[in-house]
Amino acid sequence: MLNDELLMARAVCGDVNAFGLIVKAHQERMQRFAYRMLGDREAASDVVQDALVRIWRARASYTPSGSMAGFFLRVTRNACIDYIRANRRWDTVRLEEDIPFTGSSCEASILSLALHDAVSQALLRLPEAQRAVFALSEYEGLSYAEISEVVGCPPGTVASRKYAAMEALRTHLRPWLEGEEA
Amino acid sequence: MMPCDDIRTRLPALQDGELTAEEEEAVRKHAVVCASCARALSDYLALRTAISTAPPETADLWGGVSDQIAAENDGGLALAEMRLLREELRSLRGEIADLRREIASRPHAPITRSTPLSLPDAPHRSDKRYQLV
Repeated sequence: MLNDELLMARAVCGDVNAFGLIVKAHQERMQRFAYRMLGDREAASDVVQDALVRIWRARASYTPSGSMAGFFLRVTRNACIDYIRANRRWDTVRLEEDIPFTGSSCEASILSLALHDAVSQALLRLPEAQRAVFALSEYEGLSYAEISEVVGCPPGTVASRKYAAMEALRTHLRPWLEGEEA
Repeated sequence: MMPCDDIRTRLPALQDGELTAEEEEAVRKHAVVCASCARALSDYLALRTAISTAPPETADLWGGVSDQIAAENDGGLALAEMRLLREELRSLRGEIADLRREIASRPHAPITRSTPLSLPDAPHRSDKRYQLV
């Protein structure tokens, strides 16, 4: 089994099949992350596809640094930021009111799903920097050191952003959290 | 002993297993006696439970990516051919310009006529214009 670095070295030399193997290994995580960043599955797929084509075009300038997964997630994050700036729909939108709690009569599993959707919505209202840290930590299970590699800030800043994101979500979702306990 | 605010900021890191053993112990001890931090920790756990559902569906993007790469490669070949043709055209233009310069630099030859205009022994014109027979 060829490792990522070897495959990337081949891709840099123009081996499309090697690049295909790398894409297949990383595309799911890239799409999941893009989806968390954009909140739109189709947009996430388009952004990731464009990012992959851009990686191919710029392969000659690729220099190995850090993990390959980190590199692909970093490219995805940059592509998402470009998309957000171009569309300006998600540009640091802040939630003024709590997301309404509507699940008081639902069963526990439905309530959990509803809360999951509410978290997804609330996540989109976080500033991009906090959203990226939260998504990479909670959905992708990356360590703070790995996240710092993707977002380009020290692990201490990652911890601060994670706390800020958790607190913001906690505030936005307070009715849900209280409703669930009731 | 760490102040409550410092403990609070470390709660997500506690959940994520990012604290040192000493920090973890301090935070856990504090959470036992501080209702506010215990509540925050409980909320973070609830949030984590809420998001631990099935991941979103993803698509296989390789088809689209490879099509785009192939199209760009084809376009690249056409572009290379076009560049060669352009070079050839430029070279031909240069040759034509050289030839023009060479022609222009040659001395002009005198213009000669195939029919002499005046012959000394030949009558120029007959006085009789018409002769009736």
